[in-house]
Amino acid sequence: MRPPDGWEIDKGDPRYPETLLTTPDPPKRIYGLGNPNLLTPGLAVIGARKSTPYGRSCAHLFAGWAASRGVVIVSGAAVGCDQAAHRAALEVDGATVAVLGCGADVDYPRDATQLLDVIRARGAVISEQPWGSTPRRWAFSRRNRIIAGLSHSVLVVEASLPSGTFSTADHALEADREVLVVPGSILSPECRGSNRLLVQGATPITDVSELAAVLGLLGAPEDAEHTVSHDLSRRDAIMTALVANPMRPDDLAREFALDIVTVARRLGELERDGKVIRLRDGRYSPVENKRRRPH
Amino acid sequence: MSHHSGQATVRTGTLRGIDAIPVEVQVDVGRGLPAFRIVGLGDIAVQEARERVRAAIRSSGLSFPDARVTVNLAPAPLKKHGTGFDLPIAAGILVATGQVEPRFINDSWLTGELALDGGLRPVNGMLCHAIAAAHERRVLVCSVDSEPEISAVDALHWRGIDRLSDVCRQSTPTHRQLPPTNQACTADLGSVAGHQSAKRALEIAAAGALNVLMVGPPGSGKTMLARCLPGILPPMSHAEALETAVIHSVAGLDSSSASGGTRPFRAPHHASTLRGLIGGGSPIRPGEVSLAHNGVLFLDELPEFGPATLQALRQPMEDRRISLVRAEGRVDLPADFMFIAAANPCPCGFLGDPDKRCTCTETSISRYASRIGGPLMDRIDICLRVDRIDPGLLMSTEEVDESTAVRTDVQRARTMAESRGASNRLLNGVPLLRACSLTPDCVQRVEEIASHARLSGRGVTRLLRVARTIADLESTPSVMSEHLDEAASYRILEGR
Repeated sequence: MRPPDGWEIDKGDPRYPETLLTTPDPPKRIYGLGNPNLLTPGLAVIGARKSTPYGRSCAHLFAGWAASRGVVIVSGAAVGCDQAAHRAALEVDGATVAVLGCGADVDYPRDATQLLDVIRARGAVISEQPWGSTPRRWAFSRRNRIIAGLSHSVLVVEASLPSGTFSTADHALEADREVLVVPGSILSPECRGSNRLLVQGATPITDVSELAAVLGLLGAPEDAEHTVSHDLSRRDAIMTALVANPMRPDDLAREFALDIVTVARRLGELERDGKVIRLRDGRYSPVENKRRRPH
Repeated sequence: MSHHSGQATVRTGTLRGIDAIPVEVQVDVGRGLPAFRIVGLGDIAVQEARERVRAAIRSSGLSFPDARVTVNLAPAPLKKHGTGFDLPIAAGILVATGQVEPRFINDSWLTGELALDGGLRPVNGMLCHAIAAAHERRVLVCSVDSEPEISAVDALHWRGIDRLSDVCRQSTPTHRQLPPTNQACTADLGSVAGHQSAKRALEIAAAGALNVLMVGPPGSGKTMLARCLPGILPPMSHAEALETAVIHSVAGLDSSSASGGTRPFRAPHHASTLRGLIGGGSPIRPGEVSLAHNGVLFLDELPEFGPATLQALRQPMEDRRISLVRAEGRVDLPADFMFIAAANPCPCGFLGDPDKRCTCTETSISRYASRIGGPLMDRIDICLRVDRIDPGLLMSTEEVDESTAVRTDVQRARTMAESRGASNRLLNGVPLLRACSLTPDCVQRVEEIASHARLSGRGVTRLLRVARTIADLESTPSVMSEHLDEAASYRILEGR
């Protein structure tokens, strides 16, 4: 059933987003909650669900910056990079659109319930699936074409190989959208997919000025606030190594010929200082570079 | 005394839990129609003794009385189990009919199962009978094959026989000799290549008798690491060895390695039944938790164990013993083990593996992790990630003895903990804080770690317990900042 504040836009309706009409397979009807005026050409920021702090940091950085310049951030509300992008846009009071593979009124993934409620209030949540549709696998790969179609360019922040992120990149190419990719470490499995896209000819994005150029925005900032950087002033070899690539304690001990107790204690200290976190797979990685921690 | 009438009483026992409860076998051979009855709540095995006893007496060249034979097992209300009553019943009949002199059974404790040809064999729990016999200062008369099992009992007089006819052959009671304590390792740390952080974590776990969970893909060496644990634990004391041996004896397993001081390593499969794990049945058979007493209980593929099984582990992990309540009453079995478990990181097993791709969804991963359940996870002190190591490293490793040195450190750390009065794993609340004697600076460190890692109250307790153990390994009287930092790296990973 249509929620009281829900809206439906058919193809042919004057409110139907023009950008979608230029895609090979535009949806017949869009179901939505929130502000329908946000369905203008935006920037899609996408990445792996099984993300690392690196991917989430990049999503946060670029989405936050573009949103603060008035660009609508489009993504899929999935765990990991997608949610980081939505959150970054909301943090700067920017506009963001979440495209779901289930009904626009359905909370999926479940842990995104709160986030989706905020987006419904301050942005828009849309879907081509009717109200109340439960999440189905095929619907999610179909919705990727809408994410690509609604955008002027698609920014891939982190993708492993193979990855669902690829299907969005494919749809972007079919719809003649620009594919932008943040390069990652060639050693990191989580970055193999994004680096592959670069090899295939995608545009690399390494800082906001490059993103500004692609999006046709002026006044790219020079301030350090908008670059991915970690405090390496202490010339800390372990920290430097982790910034390059997340590593396990055993590998660090071998790399630096240190005993494991020293490494474990140093990592514990870095973690306590909020500089690194332990990933679910036991590797240590620099924290998400969101905002400066007050010291 | 007439050949066909008379009475005799013989001392034996029946197992209840891990104790042999004394039982008096009263035999009456009297006038009446030939019959053979056993009263006094014997189970089917006891009733079947009639056939074995009759045949064994005849095959031994002795005569079974052509009279009314009544056997009473006293105290009558106690349930009696098993085939150990064969020998005392047969001996009682032989004494009652004057074929054997009473001096051969007086001040003795007889236990053993008879074969139809008169041969004698040991029964489960011979060690319990030996302890009870020694306690009553009686001579244990049993199968000569029991020697390796019962030799661990101090001050035991016993006479080993191998046939029923030997019961009247008075050989001098043999004096036992304690076998030398040998510390056999299940596996040596030196035989495991790489895995430096896992080895360090095991050392800490052994020093504090802390519970461990290893998470890693299949084939990464989790089982191998677990097998190293008994070898880095200090050897059992004589009293501990006897406790463990008794349980193995009751279960009908070889108890000589336990009584020799080797800590047990039990690794039940995840298809084990609840009864197999915690014990049960009639007569009660000790479960894996008790067989691992004073040793190591290893559960591989932890999430594959059913929730009921994992729930049942809570009581023994808390109380260090298991209470089995049955119609006959409550039986307590010791179950003081070190717990080590292994789990795959996700259903397919390859989450975080650098070479193989994980095919699981986020939902299935969190569902898999939640199968272990909060109450059990709350009792895990050390959680470590174990990864497959580089094959090159495997080839370049020489096998050296690492366990002996680690065991010495572990022993020293335990001595230090004991000098404070309690084992580290039992520390909680105020005594734990007192044992750590944190400086205000370190208190602040703990708060920082807790806020970064979003630790619960229990999480902080575990952190301090591990840090205290690390400090013990370094013989440091108070817990320092670096101990806390290292301890934090062994905490349980929640979510990402």
